[in-house]
Amino acid sequence: MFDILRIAWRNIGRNRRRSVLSAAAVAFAVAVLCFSMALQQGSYAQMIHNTVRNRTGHLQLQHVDYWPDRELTKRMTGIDTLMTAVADTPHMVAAAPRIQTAALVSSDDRTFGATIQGVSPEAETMVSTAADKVITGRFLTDTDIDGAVLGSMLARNLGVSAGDEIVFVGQAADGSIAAGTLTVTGTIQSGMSEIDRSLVIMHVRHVQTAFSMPDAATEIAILLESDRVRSAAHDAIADCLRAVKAEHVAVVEWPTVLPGVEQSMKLDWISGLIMYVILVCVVGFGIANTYLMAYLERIHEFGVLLSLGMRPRLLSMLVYLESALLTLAGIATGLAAGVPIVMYLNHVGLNFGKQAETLMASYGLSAVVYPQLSPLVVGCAVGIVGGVTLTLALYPAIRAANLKPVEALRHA
Amino acid sequence: MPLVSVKNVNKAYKTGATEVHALRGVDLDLETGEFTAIAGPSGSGKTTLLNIIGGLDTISDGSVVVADQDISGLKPRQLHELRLYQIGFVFQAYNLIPVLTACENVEFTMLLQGVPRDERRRRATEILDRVGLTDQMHRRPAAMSGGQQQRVAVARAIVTKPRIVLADEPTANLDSQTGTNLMAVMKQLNEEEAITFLFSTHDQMVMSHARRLIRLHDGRVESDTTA
Repeated sequence: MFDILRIAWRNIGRNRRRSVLSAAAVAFAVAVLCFSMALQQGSYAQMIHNTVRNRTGHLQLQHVDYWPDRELTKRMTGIDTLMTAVADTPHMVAAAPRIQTAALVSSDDRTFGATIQGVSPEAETMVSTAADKVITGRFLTDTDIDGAVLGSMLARNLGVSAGDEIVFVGQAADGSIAAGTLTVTGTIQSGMSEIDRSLVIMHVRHVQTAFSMPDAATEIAILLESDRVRSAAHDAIADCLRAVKAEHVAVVEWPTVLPGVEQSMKLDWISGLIMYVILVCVVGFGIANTYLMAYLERIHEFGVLLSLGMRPRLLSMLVYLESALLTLAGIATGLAAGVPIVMYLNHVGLNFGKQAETLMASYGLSAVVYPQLSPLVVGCAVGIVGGVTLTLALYPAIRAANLKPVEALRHA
Repeated sequence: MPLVSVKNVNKAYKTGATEVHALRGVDLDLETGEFTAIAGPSGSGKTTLLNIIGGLDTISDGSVVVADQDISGLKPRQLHELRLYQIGFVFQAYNLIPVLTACENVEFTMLLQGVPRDERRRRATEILDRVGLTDQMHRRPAAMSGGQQQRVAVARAIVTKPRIVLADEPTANLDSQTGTNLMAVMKQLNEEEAITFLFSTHDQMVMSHARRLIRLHDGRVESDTTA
């Protein structure tokens, strides 16, 4: 086998320019795929980071019946006990109780529907980046019981700014009317219009009082060290909850809370893979043409080898090995060139510029994306290029296996 | 039992709508140790007859027995075995593998047979010495003259000790002096190693070296004479 491999390797050197060009095409395809997929993965990581830091946390504790209707009657109670129970769970960075509900908010003669988010300000700043997104005024503190931070577009629509008062009216957990007055402490801009148009952040204690749900919350958002440990942390927290007999509380992961985010990433990844396969097929046919040429111009020689007693299967293997070695050389070169570039961009980031900022913000991304190299990226790039190229290389190998010695010898 | 027995062999090709009769009722027996030439003009059927005896081509009618095997009934795999172990080939255009050295070319058929590396190298060195190419062992074909390449081809054909060597116009691409030298080498191997040679030619010098001369014309044996 080693001798056949050696002969195959030497055969590649027969037409060096052609072999180098073929390997370069494979290398280029691998490098481009590595870069593109790493860019996709980097943007997904950023989307996940933004999602968990802006909205959901990696995990949430919820009443077992809260999802998906999200009614206030399906709330958790004994929040302090729950917070204490999960406080020392492995991989956990911070946890913050929240109450999510809806209400009407008014200022003078203007009224808009709003998403009320009751938060514990100090804990919230540990879990989310909401405080970092304040553009006017300031975020809530633990003493701002009657304070509120508004989404920038909602504040504009209501015509209010920091220091102004607004009124909210909603339905409490017991069915009564929940109402109150809030003083705007600041406005935030998340970059996502549906949030900026409707968000009202209030102190959780004010919401508990106004909506008749003392010592209760609709969710406890949990921030983990990274998304990779989500599954392990989920199990650990579930164990903690069982230990304190909190059977009414469920651990929910962010993809359940915001399924659209994960689905859009999956859809983007799969459609990307399909596009890559199509592109690599286009490149692959060019490479396959080279492999076929290398076969066609040596048919007479193959006839000689068959005459000498070489089995067709071994001849076929020799032809295939030549293509495979060239492909492998191209893949190795592509990785050697592509991986350092991606790693460098992972370090410095790829800036898409000011013009892309608004568009990318609407997808929950910043204008600087950090491509992320992973075994999945390398595996997919190598798998697609190698798979397509090696599949197309089967054609000359199959033809070689079916050669008739005398016909091959007659070939000029 | 003759080493090669060709009985009433016909071979017809289809070229478009026309049928070309390359061989018409050829009868031929070859004994072990013969040094035989098949002569005749182009298109007389020399190469076709060699290809049939070598198991490279099929017959339309008749029977061919080589090394006790009726090759018309052999499966492709058995024909490969026959060629690998019983028959050596020498081609007109040398047809060495260009990426292998002279020594590696000679080793190639032994490689196919699964002979261990050291044994291959020992036998290849020995046979190259026998054909006077010890100093060319590590050269590739492109760095050798036509005569040297054809001697490597002969060494490759005989190194596995086949029952018969089939040589298709082995001197056609060589000048007369080199051709004469090659014939001398082949004849010496025939006499000293008792290797059976059957070669096609239309070269008078080659015919003069043969101990038996079979003349073909229009696919028929015209004459069969032994010196």
